[in-house]
Amino acid sequence: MTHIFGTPILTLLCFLPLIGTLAIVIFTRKDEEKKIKNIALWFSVAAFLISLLILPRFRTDTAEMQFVERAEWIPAIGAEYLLGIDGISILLILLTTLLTVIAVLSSSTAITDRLKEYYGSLLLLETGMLGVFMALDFVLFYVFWEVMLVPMYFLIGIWGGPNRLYAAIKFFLYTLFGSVLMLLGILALYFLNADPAFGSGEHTFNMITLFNVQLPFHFQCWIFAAFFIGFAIKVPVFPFHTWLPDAHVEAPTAGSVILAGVLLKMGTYGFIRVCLPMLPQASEFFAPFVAVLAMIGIVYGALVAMAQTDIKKLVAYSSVSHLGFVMLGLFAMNSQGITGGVLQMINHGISTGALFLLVGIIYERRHTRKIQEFGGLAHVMPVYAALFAVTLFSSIGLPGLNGFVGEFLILLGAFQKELWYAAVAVSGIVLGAGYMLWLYQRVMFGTVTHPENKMLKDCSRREVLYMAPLIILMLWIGIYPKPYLRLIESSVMGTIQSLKRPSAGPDLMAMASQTPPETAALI
Amino acid sequence: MNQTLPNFPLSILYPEMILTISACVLIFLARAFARAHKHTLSSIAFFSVIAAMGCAGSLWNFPRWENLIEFFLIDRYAIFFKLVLLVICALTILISKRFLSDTDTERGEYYGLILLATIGMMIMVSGADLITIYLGLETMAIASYILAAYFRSDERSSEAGLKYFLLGAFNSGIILYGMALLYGATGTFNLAEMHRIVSGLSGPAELRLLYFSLILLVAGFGFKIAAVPFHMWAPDVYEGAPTPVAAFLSAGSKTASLAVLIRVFTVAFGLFTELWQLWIAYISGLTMLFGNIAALRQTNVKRMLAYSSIAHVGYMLLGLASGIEMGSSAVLMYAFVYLFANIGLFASLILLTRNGVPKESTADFSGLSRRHPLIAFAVTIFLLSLTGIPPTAGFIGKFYLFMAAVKSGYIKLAVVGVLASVISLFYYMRIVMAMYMEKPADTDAAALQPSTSLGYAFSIMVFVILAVGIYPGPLLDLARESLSSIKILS
Repeated sequence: MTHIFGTPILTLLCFLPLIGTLAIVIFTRKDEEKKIKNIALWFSVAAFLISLLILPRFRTDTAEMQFVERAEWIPAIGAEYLLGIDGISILLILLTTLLTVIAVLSSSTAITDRLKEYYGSLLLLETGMLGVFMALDFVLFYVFWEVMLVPMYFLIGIWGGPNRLYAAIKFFLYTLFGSVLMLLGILALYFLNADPAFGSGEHTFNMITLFNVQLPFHFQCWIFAAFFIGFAIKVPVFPFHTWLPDAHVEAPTAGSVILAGVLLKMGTYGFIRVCLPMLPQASEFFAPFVAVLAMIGIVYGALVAMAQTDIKKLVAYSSVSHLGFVMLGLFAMNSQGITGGVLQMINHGISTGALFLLVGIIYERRHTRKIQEFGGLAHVMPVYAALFAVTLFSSIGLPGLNGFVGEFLILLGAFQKELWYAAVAVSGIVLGAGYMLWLYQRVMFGTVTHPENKMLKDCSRREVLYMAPLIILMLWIGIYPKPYLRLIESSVMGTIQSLKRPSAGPDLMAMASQTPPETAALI
Repeated sequence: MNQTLPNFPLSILYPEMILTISACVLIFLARAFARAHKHTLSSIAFFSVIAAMGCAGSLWNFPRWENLIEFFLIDRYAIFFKLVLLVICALTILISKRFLSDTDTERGEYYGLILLATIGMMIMVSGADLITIYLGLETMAIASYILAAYFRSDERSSEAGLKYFLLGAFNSGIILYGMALLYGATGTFNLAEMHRIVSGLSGPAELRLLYFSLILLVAGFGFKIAAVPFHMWAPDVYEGAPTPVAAFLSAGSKTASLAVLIRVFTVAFGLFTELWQLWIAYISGLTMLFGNIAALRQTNVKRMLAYSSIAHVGYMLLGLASGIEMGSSAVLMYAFVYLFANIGLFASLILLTRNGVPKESTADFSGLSRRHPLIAFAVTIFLLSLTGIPPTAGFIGKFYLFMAAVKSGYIKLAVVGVLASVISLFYYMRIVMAMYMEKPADTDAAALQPSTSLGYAFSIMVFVILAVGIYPGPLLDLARESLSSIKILS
C-alpha cells in the first residue's frame, strides 16, 4: 500500500514543504510578514498531519520497506526515484515534521529580518531532511543529503550570531568533506554490486538490493572508512565534532533545534541504514574502535559541557555526549543496543530540541546566554523554570522520562558487549547529571542577582504551546515506551539479521584476485 | 585516395555557411548602418546562430553521417559539440550587448569576430584530418587574439591580447610540429587512416617519432585548454580581456580544443591509450589541485574564475583519463554543464559593471541579495553548480565523472578530485556570503536592472542548470550516443 487517499503519500509528504517554499517565494511580498508566517505554519502543520496519517497504516510486524514508491529517474546509470520507510525512518520522519512546526512557531518573534528567505529556507530544509529518511536509492539519498546543506548554511549565515560567517562556512565545509568521501563509498558499492560474485550483478543504486551485497572483508573495510567519515562528521563522533559548537552557538534558535534534533540524526541514521546492513563484517571489525570513540565523546562532551559559561554552548557539548550514547548503542550490535540507540535518537531530538528552545526563550528576553548573567529565575519565571526542569531531567535520563528508557537500553546492550563499555558510559550519565543540575542551580535558584532579571516576563502562551508537545512526549515515552519500541522492533531485528549474514568467505576472497580489472582495481 | 571533391549534400555545411555569411555581413556591411541601427548588429548575429543551431540539430539523424567527406566529419560527436559551441556563442552575444553599449564599443567587428571564432571551433570539432583541425584551430585562435585585445585603449586588454597572441603563436608552432612528426611517422593526415597505420608500425624509429609527437600534442592542446603546467597565460588573459570575451574564451575555446583532443587521442593514438591516459591522469590531478588552490587566494572574481576554469579542465581531464566509453561521455556531459554556470558568472560581472567601470572584486557582490534578489539567486545557482551541489547540473556532471573514475580504478585521483571540489566550495561560497550575509556597499538598485537580453540569458542558464540537475537522463543519453559515433570511425 503506497497510496493514501489516492496520492503517493511519501512523495506528497516530502515535497509539500518545497511547495510551501515556492508559495512563499512567489505569492508573498517582502512586507507581508503575517502571510509569510501563516503559509510557513500551515505547510509545516500539513506535513506533520500527513506524517501522522501514515502511522495507523504502518505495519509493525515486518522489517520490509513500506509505502514504497518507485519511478524511473536516470535509467542510464541505474538510479531510480525510490522512496520507502521502515520502523527506523518513520520515527525520524515524525520527529522531523514535529520539530519543523515547532521551529516555525518559535521563530515568529525571534526572526524579524528577511522573513521570506528565512521561512523559505526552513521549509526547503524540511524537504531535504524528509528526503534523506525516505530515499532508498543512493543517488537520491545523496541528493537530499546535500540539498539540505544549503538552507542550513543560509540559516546559520544570515540569521546567526556575531560569528556566523565563520560558523556557516565551517559547517558547510566539514559536512561537504564528509559527504564527498561518502559519495566515493557509494560508487564503490555500486560497482562491486555489479559484479555477480559479490552482489546482484546489476548496475543499481537501489539500497534494498544493496542490502544483500556480500563483499569480501577488505573491500568492506575501505568502503566502511569512506562512509564512516561522512557519517561521523554529521553525528558528530569525537574527534570530528569541532564544527558543532560553532554552528550551534551561532545558529538562530530554530536552526539549532533542527540541527540538534534532526540533522545530527542523519549521521546515526546513515550508520544504521548503510554501514550495519551493507558492511556487516567491517562494522563488526571496527565496532570496538567506534565504541571507544563514542565513549571518548560521552566523557569528553560531558566534561567540556561542564566548563562552559554559555548556556547554548553547554547544550551543544551535551549533544556530543548524548550522541556518543547513540553510537555506543548502535555499535553494541545487539537488539537492546540498537533499539536503545534508535529510541535515543528520538529522545535526544525531543529533549535537546526543547533545551535549545528554552535557551532561545531566555535569549530573546535578555540577549545574553551567559550563565553568570542569570540566577534566581525560578522566582521570576516559574512556568519557565518548570518546563526547564522537566526537559533537564529528560536530558539527564531520570526514570519516568524518555531519556531513561533509551539510555537504559543502550547500557544493557553495551553491558552485553563489554562490561567496561557500560561502566564508562555510566560515568557519562553521572557527569551529565552533574553539569545539568549545576546549570539549573546557577540559573534558576538563589536570589535574583541581576536587576534586569527581576522584570522578565514568564513564558507566553505561544511558548508554552510549542513546548507542550515536547514535554508530553518526554513523559509519554518515559512512562509507556511500548508503542515506540514496537515501531522500531521489527526493523531492528531485520538489521540484526543482516549483521549475522555469513561473510563472503575465503572462497570469495580467493575469487577477488580473479575478478575483472574493473573491480580488482578498487582495492 | 579520391582526389575529386565527392558528391555530398550541401546541407551538411549549412551551419558554418550561415555563420560565415553573417560574419561577413557584420564586418563589411555593418559599417554603413552601424551608428543608426545598433540593435540590428546583435540581432543579426544572434539569429544567425539560432539558425545555425537549427541546421546543425537537423543533421543529428542524417542518414550517412559516417564518411561523406574524408576531411570533414558530420558524426554525432561533431554535431553535439557544434551545438554546445553554438549555445556558447549565442549566450555570449546575449551577454555582450549590455557590456558593449555601456562602453560605447558596440561594433559589427565584435560580433563578426565572435562568429568567426565559432566557425573555427566548429571546423575543429568536425576535423577528421590534421589539416582541417589545424585550419579550424588557427581560425579560432586569430579571432580570439583580436577579441582579447578588443578594447584598444585599455591597457589591460591590449596586454591580454598581446600575451595571448605571442604565447598562442608559439603554441601553434608546437602543435604543428607534433602534427608534422605524426605525419612523418604515418605518412597520412587522416586520423582513421593513421589508426590503421599505427597498428602496423613496429620500428623503433617510428615509435620514437610517435611518442615525441604525442608529447608535443599533449603540450599543445594542454595549452589550449589551460591545463597545468601549460596554464600560465589563462589568468592574465581572462582578467584583461573584455568580460564577455573572457566568458567566450573560457567556455568556447576550451570545449572545442577538448573535443579535438579526445578525437585525436582516441582515434589516432588508440593503440597508446594506456600511455596517454596515464599522462592525462597526472595532468588532471595537478590541474584540479593547482587550479582550486590558486583560486583560493584571488579577490578579483574574474581572476578567480580563470583559476576555477583551470580546475574544471582538471575534472574534465579526469574523465578523459578514465576510459573512452564512460569517461569521455562524462567529459561531454561536463563540458555542456560547465558552460552555463561559467558564462553565468561572467554575466553577473557584466551586470555589476557600471558605466564601463569594472566591478570585479568579491566585495562588489556584497548585499546583492537585497539589491536584486533574483540575480543573487541565479548567481547562487551558478556557484552551487560549479561546486557540484545538487540539485544543480554541476552535481550530475561531477557525479558522472567520478563514477567513471571509480569504475576505471582511478580511486586516488577521484579522492583528489572530490577533495579539490571541497576546496572550491570555500572560494565559491565567499561570493554567496558577500551577496547574502554582508551589507550592500552600493545601494543603488536601479542601476542593476538587467537589460532584456541579459535577463533572457540569466533565465535560460538557470533553467538549464536546474533542469539538467533534476532530470539528467536525456542529456546523459545524448552524450553517450554522441560518443559512440567516434567508435564507429575507429
